[in-house]
Amino acid sequence: MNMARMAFRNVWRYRRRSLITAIAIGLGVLFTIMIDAMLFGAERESAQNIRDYETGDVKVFAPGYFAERQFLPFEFFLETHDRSLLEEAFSQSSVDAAPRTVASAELYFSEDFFKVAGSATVKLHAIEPVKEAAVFRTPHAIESGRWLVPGDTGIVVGSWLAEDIGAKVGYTVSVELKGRGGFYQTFDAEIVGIALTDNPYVNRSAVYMDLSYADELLALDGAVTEYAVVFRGGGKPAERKGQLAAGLARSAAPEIYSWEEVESDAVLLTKTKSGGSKVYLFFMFIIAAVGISNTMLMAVMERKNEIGMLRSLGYAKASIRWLFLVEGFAIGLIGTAAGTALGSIVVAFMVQYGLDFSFMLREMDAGYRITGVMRSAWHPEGMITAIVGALAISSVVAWFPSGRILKSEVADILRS
Amino acid sequence: MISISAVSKTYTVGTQKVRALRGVSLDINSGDFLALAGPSGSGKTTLLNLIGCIDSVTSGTITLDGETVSGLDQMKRNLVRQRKIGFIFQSYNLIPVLTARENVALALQLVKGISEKEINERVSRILAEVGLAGMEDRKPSQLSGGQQQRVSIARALVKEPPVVLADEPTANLDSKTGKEILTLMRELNETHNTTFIFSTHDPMVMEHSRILVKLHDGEITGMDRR
Repeated sequence: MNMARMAFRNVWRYRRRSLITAIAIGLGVLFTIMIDAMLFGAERESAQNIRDYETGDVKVFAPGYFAERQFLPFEFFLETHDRSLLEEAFSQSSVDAAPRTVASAELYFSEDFFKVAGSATVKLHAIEPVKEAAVFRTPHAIESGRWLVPGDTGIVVGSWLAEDIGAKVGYTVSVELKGRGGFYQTFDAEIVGIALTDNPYVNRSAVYMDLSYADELLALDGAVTEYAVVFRGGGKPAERKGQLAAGLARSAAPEIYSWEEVESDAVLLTKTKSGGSKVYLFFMFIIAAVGISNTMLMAVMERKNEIGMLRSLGYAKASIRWLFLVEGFAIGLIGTAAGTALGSIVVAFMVQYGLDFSFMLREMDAGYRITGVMRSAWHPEGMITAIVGALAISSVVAWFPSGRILKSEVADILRS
Repeated sequence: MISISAVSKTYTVGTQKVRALRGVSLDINSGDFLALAGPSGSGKTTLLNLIGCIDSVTSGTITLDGETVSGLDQMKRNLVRQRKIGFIFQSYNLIPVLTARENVALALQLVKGISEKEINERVSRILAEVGLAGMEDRKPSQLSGGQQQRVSIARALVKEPPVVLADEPTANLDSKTGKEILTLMRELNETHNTTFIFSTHDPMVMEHSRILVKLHDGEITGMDRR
């Protein structure tokens, strides 16, 4: 008869109490796995949507642009000479690259087409329609109307923006923005398409127009503010970025940044949210730990005679502590197994169907680039952390309650 | 065998100091069947605990088999208990989740160099000797009080210690069962030549003992040899 077997029988002996404690641990593990998978899924999907709709794998800017990128500066351009060198380098690098000029613009709408007149601040993307389609998914997410064609004078707007201002395909709006050199340009454009994407930033405020038309209106002289690039054929993004940077070194010192660097605020925000949620999960585990500790304390108090008897037989304090540790571990194991099994079922459901948060994400900016359904993703590392954490906490907290009583003389234990 | 010399024990209860034993001296020979008798608070259980190395003396010395055990640290006293002392408790102190066989085997599992097979054989033999043949696989809840005390006796004797200490062994038993238990212990004392020391205030136990040591207020007040 070894101590481990005795410990497992003791778990069964106090089965109601063991069950309640195991349920507490199980719930802790269940929520940990569930929330971790949800955050991991949201973080991954958000990252994917940034790459698919906003940045590609890397972006190339003219020197000076990156530091000011939040303000969409209209003074750092990749000129035609830079562009031809860049495009030569791109053609030798297994990448798809889309030239773009991005600027802040005001979109005006009048009673002619809309119920009420007004304006909205938008992010205007002047793009080459074909190249844009090779890099981004927006051209493939047209809800109504069509995507732009080369030489197009129309615009494509995000679906939520269209909804907010009551726009439909065929309506005309006025667009006002600064041209190169600081002059103001206003032009009328027909909405030729409405894009419904998985990225709320695109849906909420993006407007697309043809680059050649923008070049003419804004006096760009063939310059663009950026290139968005995606790598073809896999490989590690950091390595590919390094290779591409080496290839671009011959041009006029353009700067190349990964999507994480370009959207560092979004990346930081999602990581902060994950970190904040982990603090919440940590407290959940503390509560479970207090539960186990309490259970083990009750077990120790009720079994003083047994402890005294074992000590009188000559069992060392460590052996008796081991007995309680195994009991705690066994309760933890039951709870963890149940929590993991249930958590896996919930995660499987959440991976497949997700939870629809569109009612919330439509109206507020939660930092995630997710439009509605938040899908979880399997996160083995998170699951292992939850399992190991729960088992470790169950065992460690079971170690302490027996400590105080074992410090006493055997006679005192038996007497008490 | 056991030499107790000027042993005192003082407890602190809250702010009060309680002198449980006051300079007790006593020699106990191998194979003795001795009862420590006296009213509550006389110090009999304290003396039993000190002999059993489950408590420490305030002053004085206790020698067991030529080895001074008073003053040893807890770990060393642990080893003494493993090798030399068996305990029988008033409330048996059996582990409820273990069978009679497993409860008895607990005492042997600490003894190094004994195989699982030998443990089983010795446990079966001692359980048969205390009259529990056929009940080895019963749990304590499936045994009567007398049977539970027999398991407790088997557990105390299975490692063949030179000394068995019994704290009020009949207190929880009816007189008939108590008498049976005492008769059994007397038989085991004779067959194994094991020293039995009881603490009791049960007249029947006093009657069965060969040596009766009377204690009062922490001092030995008399000794009868029969």
